[in-house]
Amino acid sequence: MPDWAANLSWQTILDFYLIYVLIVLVLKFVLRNKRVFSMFLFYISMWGIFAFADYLGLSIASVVYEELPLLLLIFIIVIGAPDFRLTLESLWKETTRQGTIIMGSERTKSEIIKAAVTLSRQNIGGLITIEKHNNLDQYAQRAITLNSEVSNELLVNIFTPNTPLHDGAVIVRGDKIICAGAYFILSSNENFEKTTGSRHRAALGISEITDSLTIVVSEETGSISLAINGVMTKMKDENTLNEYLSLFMK
Amino acid sequence: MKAFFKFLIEPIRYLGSRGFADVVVKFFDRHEWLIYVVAFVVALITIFIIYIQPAL
Repeated sequence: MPDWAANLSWQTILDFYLIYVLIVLVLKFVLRNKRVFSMFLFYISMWGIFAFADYLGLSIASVVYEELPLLLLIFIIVIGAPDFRLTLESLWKETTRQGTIIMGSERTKSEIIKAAVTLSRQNIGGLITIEKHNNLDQYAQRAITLNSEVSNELLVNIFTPNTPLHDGAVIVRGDKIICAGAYFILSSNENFEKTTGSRHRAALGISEITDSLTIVVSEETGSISLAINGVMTKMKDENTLNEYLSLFMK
Repeated sequence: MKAFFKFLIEPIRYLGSRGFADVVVKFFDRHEWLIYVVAFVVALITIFIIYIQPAL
């Protein structure tokens, strides 16, 4: 038996397995977001260079090699905190998918459409999020609980300016409005115009990290848009909105 | 002179650039199974360095 084979045992196999799992998890995490991945590459390349310098016995570089990894890691985590959060949230999107979903009835759909059209005609800003597989409880818990039937009148009333609940989003689960005044993390997507308002950014933000659909009514133009999977689509008319909602609420 | 000093940092700058990261992220997005292959190879190299190389 060769000398090197004497070092191998069942612990080696277990060690290999654990390292393999760890590397898969790290790669899956860093490859979700290009900014996180570029920071990871920078860190690995710096670490590699100083490890090589240490191997060559370069005195100053060896001192840096001992101290640098931890400092650089802290520095990268602080700088990349928003990206790490976004990456973790996209992982959360996959792990919090519910097996069973409650979708609203035809009546709920038509009430939501009526409310969106009314808000649009009166130039009242509105944000209605319809839950699908990803549970939105973490946002609902920080908002005002309603648990009421979806109705056009109630939705319009919620978004009427200068009322306590008009700021923030309404979350719809099945045929119920579970809460109003919910706040979402704003999208930092650079592909959208810098002038995109906070209501639209909030809609995009929640659509990036969950599979929900959000209807946004612009306060300035009265236009109706839908945000789903990180994409914002402007609705031409009521029929288009109906088609999108019918597809989503199937 | 300026070009020489810039050239020294170029490999690291390229590795840390978003363009390169974008290419790699998109590639692994299309071929997700390759993540497992890369992880397997890296784990194998690690095992080799820790367990086998000292005995050679």
